[in-house]
Order: sequence, then structure tokens, then C-alpha cells
Amino acid sequence: MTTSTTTTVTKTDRRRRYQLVYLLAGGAIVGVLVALALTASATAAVPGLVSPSTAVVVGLPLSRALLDLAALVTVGMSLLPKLLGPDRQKRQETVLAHARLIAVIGAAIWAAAALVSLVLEDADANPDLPVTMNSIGTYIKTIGSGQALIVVASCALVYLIIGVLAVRQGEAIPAELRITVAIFTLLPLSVTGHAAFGPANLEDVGLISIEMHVLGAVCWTGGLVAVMLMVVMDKALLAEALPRFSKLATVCVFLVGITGLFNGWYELYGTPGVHWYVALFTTGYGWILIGKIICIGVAGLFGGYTRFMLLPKIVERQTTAVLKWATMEITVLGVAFGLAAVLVRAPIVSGS
Amino acid sequence: MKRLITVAVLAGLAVATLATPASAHNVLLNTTPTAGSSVTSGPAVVQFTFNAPVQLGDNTIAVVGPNGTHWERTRQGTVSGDTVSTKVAPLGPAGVYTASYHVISADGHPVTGDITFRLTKAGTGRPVTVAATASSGGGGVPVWVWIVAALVVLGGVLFFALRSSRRTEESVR
Repeated sequence: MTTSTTTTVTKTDRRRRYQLVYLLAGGAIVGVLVALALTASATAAVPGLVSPSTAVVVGLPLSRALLDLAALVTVGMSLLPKLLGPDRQKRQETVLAHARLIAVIGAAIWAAAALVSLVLEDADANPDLPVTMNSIGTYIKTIGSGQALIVVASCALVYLIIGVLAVRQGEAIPAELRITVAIFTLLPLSVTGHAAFGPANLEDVGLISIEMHVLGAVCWTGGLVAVMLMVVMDKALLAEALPRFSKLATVCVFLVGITGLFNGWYELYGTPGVHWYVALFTTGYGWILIGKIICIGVAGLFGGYTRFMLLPKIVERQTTAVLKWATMEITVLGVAFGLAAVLVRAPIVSGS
Repeated sequence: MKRLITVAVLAGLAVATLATPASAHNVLLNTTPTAGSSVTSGPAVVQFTFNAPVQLGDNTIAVVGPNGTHWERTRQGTVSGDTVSTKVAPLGPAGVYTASYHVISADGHPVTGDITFRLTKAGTGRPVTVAATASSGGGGVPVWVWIVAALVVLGGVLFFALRSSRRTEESVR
């Protein structure tokens, strides 16, 4: 390959690589809108009472989806040094410098999305009252997810500070520290929603299961985004990173599938007045669950193809269509994140 | 990688033990008057009982009679454990009345719903006047709007993906 062709390929490569971020976001928006359609009847306006404005109804899941996407990009970029492994330090440095910068941007969006979600949640919970600093304060004091969002915003800011230090000082700021802070930021939100609900003595299992679900989904998607954005054009680094990611992703696929099925069942089972297997097929909540199961299945198949058909060639540094397959996988996972953003607040049975 | 997963699991467990247990998305169990029942005289109180505690916040109840008239004495409901209630003025014309609620569920999510009951014998009451109660907003957006929006975005995403991959092929060639 001559020098001139290398530069054109790098330029188009970059365009193709950044395309997957747009597709991830586009997939998430599609997921949110589909899920809103599925739950429209359960959240319909009730006579005589004020319901939240359309801006809040759409904005809340969109801002939650943005929060999740920023989280997975930040976590993925933090994992990248570990995925690249201990060899070829010099060659990694340009890639990692770029990754650290993206992680900082991700953390900033993460914190901002948490604060926007807080305002929108207050508006959603109290449609009768105007949103003021006072009402947001009361919301934080009384509602668990309000507290969780504040913790998330604060932890994301801590990551931001560590991330800026890492941008300036490189890998002298240990990757483990960034990974730990990022993962800690990930977890508070998941335990304040419906997860902590259900038959007694299964509650702790439900909590840990939902945390493992979030963790698995974010490491899988985030790791894949990080590898594809940062190293897909460098065959030597890709041959190092993809086998490591593949091991992590294999664990994550099963973790996400099993914990997702458990938590879905757990929510439906714990709802009085309806059998879980009936609720699965007759409620908006159940339909969104089915949508997520399909998404995980399809993304898992794309991942499996990459693992079994492309990985052996990539290890031998041959050219493959891995970016195309990974982009499809990431888009489908984006849809799953969009569905999840509505699912986390959706009622199982409507009140009427 | 093993160390990473250990760190993650420990962090997860730490947060899990900090969390308050037994939050729930409240489900309506019982109402006074009973949903779908017929009554000869208006109830003094409308009460909704859920399967889990109701949180403090914007817990509101409306009783809407024929022609959109309101009959609740206060829109802000009184919370007591799993129940929310409000006093109701003596009802007027016979007909179908709807009692609606909006409560903050134990998990912090708002939950809404409504029941109806029929007043078979006209009472002597007069409707109460209430401030802006227009049940406006996103709750009323029909399903097809979401579907059309989803299709438009999906189309945009596919168009964008196909166009830029074609352009890439051209420029590589």
C-alpha cells in the first residue's frame, strides 16, 4: 500500500467509523418511538387530571437513552487500554490519546443528560406543578431516582476530572481507576427503578441481576463501539483487541440474555392481577420485552458471525467486512437501548 | 480482565446493598366506590388502594361527572400508606361518573388510571369549580403518531447508512 492510498483510506475509514455513532443514536431513537407507540394506551390521559406535555413524554426517554449511550461510550473508551493489552505501547498511544478525549466528552454528556433527566422526571411526576428549583429539590428529597441521578451526575463529573487528567498525563492515570469510576457511575440508576420489586426474598437477586444486565449491556456495546471507532483501521491492533473483546462480549451476551429474561419475568410475575405469561403477550410492557429479546438475539447472531467467521481471519490480519457487521450489531443494540429507556418507567398494567 | 470483573461485581454489590428495597410500580387493587358499580347516593369519599405505598408528591384525584363537571372537593389527594383518597361533594345528575388518579408510585414513577361508577338516583349537589384541568398533553398522542415518527427516523437512518456506505465504496474504488 502506498502512502497516498493510505491517507484516502484513512479518511474514508474515519467517515465510515463515525457513521456507527449516528446509527447507534438513530437506532436508539427508533427504539424509543416504537416503545412509546407500544405503551401509548397504558399511559393515555385520564379524565379531569393534567397529564405531562408531549415534550416531556418524548424528551424523558430520549434523554435517558442519551444518558445510556454516553455511559456506554465512556465505559467502552475506558476499557480500551485493557482490550489493547500490554504489548505495542508506542503504537497504541495515538489511539489511546484519542480514546481518552472521547471518554471525557462522553462523561460530560453523561453528567448533562443526568441533570436534564432529573428536570424532565420532575415535570413528568408532577404535571400539575411548574418546574422550579424548589420542586426539583423536593423531587430529589423524596424520590429514589432523583437521588440516583444526582449521584450519577456527580460521579460523571469525578470521571470528567480524572479523564481530563488522563488526557494531560496519559496512561499514568491508571485505566483501572477510570473503569471503576465509570462502572460505579453506571449502577445507582438501575437499582432505583422497578427492579427492586417483586416477591420477597428474591429482591436482592433482582437488584444484582439488573445491575449485571446494565453492566453486561454497556460493556458489550461500549467495548464494540470503542474497538470499531478506534482500532478497526489498524490491523495489528485489531488482531490484539478483537480476540480480547470477543471473550468479554461472549460473557456479556449470556449475562445480558439471562439477567434480562430473569428481570423481565420477575417484573411480570410480581404484578398482581395478571399471569406473567399472559402479561408478556397482552401488555405494552410485555411487547417491549419481546422487542428486546429479538434485539439481543439478532445482535448476538451478528456478534457470533464476527466471532466465528471473521475473527480467525482478523487474527491473521486479513481484510474483512468486520466494520459492516459490527455496525449492524451496534445499530440493533441501539434499538435495544431505546426500548429500555421507555421500559424502565413503563407501567405493566394500566390503571383503568 | 478477571480483576476488572471483580471490581465491577464488588461495586455492584456495594450499590445494591445501599439501595432501599421494595420499591414498586404501584398496581391498583381496590377502590371506593367499586369500579363499575352502581350507587344510589354519591360517595362522600373516593379512595384508591394500591399494592404498595404511595410516595409524597403530586398525588391528585378528580371525579368527573356528566358534561365534564367536577365533583372532588380537593384535587390533592390524602395519602395514607397504600391508599390515596379525597372528599367528594354531594353528586348531582344521575349518570356515569369517572374517578381518576395520578399518584407517585413507590418506585417514584407516576402512575395514572381511572374507574367509573354509575349514580342511579339524581342527587341535589352542584359541581365544584376547578382551575385549569384540561387533560392535555402527550398522554393523548395517538399511537400512529409514534409509529410514523419511528418509520421516518428508521428511513432516515437507513438512507444515511446506505448513502454513506455507497459513497465510501466509490471513494475506495
